[in-house]
Amino acid sequence: MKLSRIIVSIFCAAATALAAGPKNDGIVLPVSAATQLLIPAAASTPGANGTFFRSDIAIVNFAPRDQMVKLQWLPQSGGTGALTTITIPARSGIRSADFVATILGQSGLGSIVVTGINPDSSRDLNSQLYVSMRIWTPQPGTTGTTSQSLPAIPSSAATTQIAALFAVGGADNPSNYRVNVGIVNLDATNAQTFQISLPSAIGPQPPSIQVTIAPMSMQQVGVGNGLSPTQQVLIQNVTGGTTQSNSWIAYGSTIDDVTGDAWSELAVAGTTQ
Amino acid sequence: MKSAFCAALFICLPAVAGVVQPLQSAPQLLIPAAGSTAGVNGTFFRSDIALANLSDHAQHIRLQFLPQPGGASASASIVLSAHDWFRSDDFVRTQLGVTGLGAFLISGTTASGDLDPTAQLYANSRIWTIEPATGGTTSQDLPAIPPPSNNNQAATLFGVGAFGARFNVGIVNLDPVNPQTFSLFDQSLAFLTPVPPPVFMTVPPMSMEQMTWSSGPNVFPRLVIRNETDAPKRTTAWIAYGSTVDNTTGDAWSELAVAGAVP
Repeated sequence: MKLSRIIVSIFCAAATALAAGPKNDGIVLPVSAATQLLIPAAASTPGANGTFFRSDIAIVNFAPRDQMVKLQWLPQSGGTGALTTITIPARSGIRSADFVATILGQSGLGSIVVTGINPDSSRDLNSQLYVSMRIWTPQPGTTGTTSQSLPAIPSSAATTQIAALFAVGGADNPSNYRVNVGIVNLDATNAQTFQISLPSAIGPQPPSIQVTIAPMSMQQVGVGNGLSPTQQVLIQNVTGGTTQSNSWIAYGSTIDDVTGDAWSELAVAGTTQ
Repeated sequence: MKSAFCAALFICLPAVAGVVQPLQSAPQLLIPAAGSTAGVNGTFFRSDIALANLSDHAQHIRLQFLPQPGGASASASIVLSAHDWFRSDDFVRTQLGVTGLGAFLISGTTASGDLDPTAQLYANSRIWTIEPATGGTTSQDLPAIPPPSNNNQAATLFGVGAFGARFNVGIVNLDPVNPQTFSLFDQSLAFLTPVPPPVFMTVPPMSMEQMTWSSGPNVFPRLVIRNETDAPKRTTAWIAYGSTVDNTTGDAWSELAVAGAVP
């Protein structure tokens, strides 16, 4: 029996202030609360072998007043974006186990920009939003689930030309794991072209992958099975010219082909290691 | 297909501060839960940790294992070349030669062992085990964060719990001298009469403790963790996390408690 769960809850919390965390050459990413947050990957979409991936997302308004929140759906390339506005009561929150379908009325894979706004739809720079999220699916053949978490990050953290992933290869038996790289292009106007490469100190350099991503959208690319545990993945914006933007982020997602066990890593911005 | 729907309105908590959590690199990083330890039903949990030196100079690094009460603490020093990194799928055992569950503190140091504020360390961590029935794995991530030094007295977990899952809560006490006593209370049950009493947990200095939380029929606890230690000895250097584990598949996820909730 497949088990589908839809949970919407409203709960209360509170905040007096949001303190910025220590930063280190832009590498440290504040991930919990901000005026605008990016959820790099969210979904309500069927997968292979009877799986169906949904996003379990909680959004909390820590402000002592009701908060209008704009939810912007950034679909995979080829999809259609969408806007939804909700109001979260003061010091309260909302949680849904199928957020994309239930709250946004969307399906497929994409990203979500969560923005505190004023009644006139301008950005509310005093909003205090916190997001917790994971993507999950019922595990076919059982009554349980598999899932992976990705932190929500302030969209202002997307400021780099190159980024790297360190821990996406399978650790114990690499051939059992497939790796995806997702890139979110937050440029409002221009498509961006990215190069995904697997640097190798020994042997031939594997061919790189190029992907062009439309404005305000995302794309997830399969990098294949069998990446070494110490294989680094570099993602570089190679758009060039005056339309190149640093407003993007990348993530890696590794999945065990046997169990569906999965983990994610945000690309470390600014490093060329 | 079975479908379940829940909606609930909860009473408010006052006051949260300092909820932005830096995640990726810093001179010093804390991994709240790490280990190399046998679990039930043939599982064996290990920590898969990648550690990078992002600075342009060689970096001395001190690794400290802060065990659960009764466990063995351990430390070791390594040097990582400029812009170098390594990864181990059983980091605690291979780097420190110890087993058990605990927290893991990674500090950039000078050659003489003092903290190096210029260190730029990055760590990525997850705990994993072979799933005996399949030969595949199950795992959960926990972010490496700069050690908390100014946490408020209380913190709250928001995104934990699920149907058919168990929920563990862990607390790391980074005070080098004083044990700390914490109360744990499911705020979402505060409407009950009588109100369920809090659970108390005392964590020794430089140590961590993890317990399974029992919320009865409430599968979505909103757990407030409050440091109840008397003020002269109360530390702000602590952190809590929640870990939810699917009872059927071992699927698991974690959340750091949002610091600053002051009921």
